[in-house]
Amino acid sequence: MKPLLYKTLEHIELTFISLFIAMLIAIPLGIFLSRTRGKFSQILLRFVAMIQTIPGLALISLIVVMLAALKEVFPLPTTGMLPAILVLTLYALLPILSSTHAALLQVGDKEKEVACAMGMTKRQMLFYIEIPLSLPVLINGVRIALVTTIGMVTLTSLVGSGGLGDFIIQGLRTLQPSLVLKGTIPAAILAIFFDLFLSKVENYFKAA
Amino acid sequence: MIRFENVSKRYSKNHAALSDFNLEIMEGETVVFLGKSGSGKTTALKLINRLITPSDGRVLVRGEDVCKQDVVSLRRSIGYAVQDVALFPHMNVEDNIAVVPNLLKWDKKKIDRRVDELLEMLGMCPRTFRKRYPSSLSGGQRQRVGVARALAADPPIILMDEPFGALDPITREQIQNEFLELSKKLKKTIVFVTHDLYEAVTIGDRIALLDQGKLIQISSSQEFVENPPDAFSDEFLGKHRFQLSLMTKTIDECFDDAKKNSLSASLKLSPSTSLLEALALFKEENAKALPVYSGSSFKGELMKEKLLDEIVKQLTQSPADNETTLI
Repeated sequence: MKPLLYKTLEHIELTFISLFIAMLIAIPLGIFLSRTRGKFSQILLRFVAMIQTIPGLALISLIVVMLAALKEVFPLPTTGMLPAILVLTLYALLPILSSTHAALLQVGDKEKEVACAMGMTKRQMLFYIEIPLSLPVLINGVRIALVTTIGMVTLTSLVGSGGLGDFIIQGLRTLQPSLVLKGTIPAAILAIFFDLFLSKVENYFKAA
Repeated sequence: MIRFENVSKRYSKNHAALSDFNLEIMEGETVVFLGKSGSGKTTALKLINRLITPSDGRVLVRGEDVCKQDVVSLRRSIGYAVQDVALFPHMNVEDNIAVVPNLLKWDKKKIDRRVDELLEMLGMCPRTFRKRYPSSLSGGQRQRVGVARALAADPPIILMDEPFGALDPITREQIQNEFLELSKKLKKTIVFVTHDLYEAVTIGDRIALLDQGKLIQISSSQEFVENPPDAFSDEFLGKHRFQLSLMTKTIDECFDDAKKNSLSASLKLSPSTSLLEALALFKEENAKALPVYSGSSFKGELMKEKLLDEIVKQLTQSPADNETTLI
């Protein structure tokens, strides 16, 4: 088995790749949804929230089974990084999407009206006013997604993604508490560390 | 400079926020839209920079229909200040003031100079305040920054929607006076919305009184107080009439011409001093008469008795309203 440091780095890698993809999808989508008032955004938000209700283990299994079924059409790997990143990204979507959506809606009408009255275009208003004023809430959503993703990565080890979950699963199979702890403690430390870091970032934008 | 031609704004079939509104605002004058809430005064203001588009009629700015102008450059040429200021909380004072200059892509040095100039003009030390955030400013300071922001790109027209409404009375009076001085100096075309009579009378060259979406009357501040032409205006002025007339009536008619200043008083009056101001100065000086100067030339002297006579005259001319006379 690979050493602890290697597994920890693998864990971080998986977390950040998934989080990055989720942000890439969820932030623009959230901005778009905040501009379309009405049913469409409600339905989409519900749908994304539904993904969150599927148990982690079930979602992993579903993805692997689906990938296997589609093997003929899309020859994609059914184990390892790919299914893991798919699952992790799906899970991270909701907190980021809903916080982006909510963050943009809470920007004051007064500020927006003044910005408009000063002759800002819609684009300028988004980048100079709405996004900066949304950052604290938006970062909060990213933080929640990050912490849950770190936890979820221990589960995706089941499909061979690597990461600290490897120690935990091995410990479970061989009934060695020390091995379980060797995976659990670093994962918990990672979660606490990134959580603190992002809350500092969040506070920085709040203070400004 | 700004002309409303038969402008109406309807939000639904039955309700008109503004109906058949006609008004011409000259270059360099300050016009106050005065009215209760729901009178359409804010609607009228927002039609000028096209935050609201008219349902009927046209609004002309510099002779051209606003709906045919490029809305972005129209708005950048019109300063805008509102109640609660709405400074952008994520920008410091300097960035807040520089919003429009930045949008207009002024160069950095010019913006820097302009920010300093504005802060100094409004009595805020640039070195202390440039980097501060709105949350660390007092209400009055925020309001000043709001005014500075509206003035930043030196727009010929400034729209103000109850800009001093959220301030405590003392700060408000102070800022009103500062603003009055400033507006005299800057010679901008200012449209000012308020529901406060005293503010209207102090700040406006002309007052447009609105009610239920209609223009009731347009007149100079003094005319406004002296001859409200119909019942509504009378009711609106009501018991404030006496006090308002003291604020708008000047001592021009009641001082005695004289050739030489034989008084030892240190304070001076001018023909445009209001009765109320004159009364306050008499109290301060505790004299029987004060000299009247127009600029540096001596005009005559005002006897305290004459002033009091004039005030009593105003009092008796006020409507038969017992509350008034008791104050």
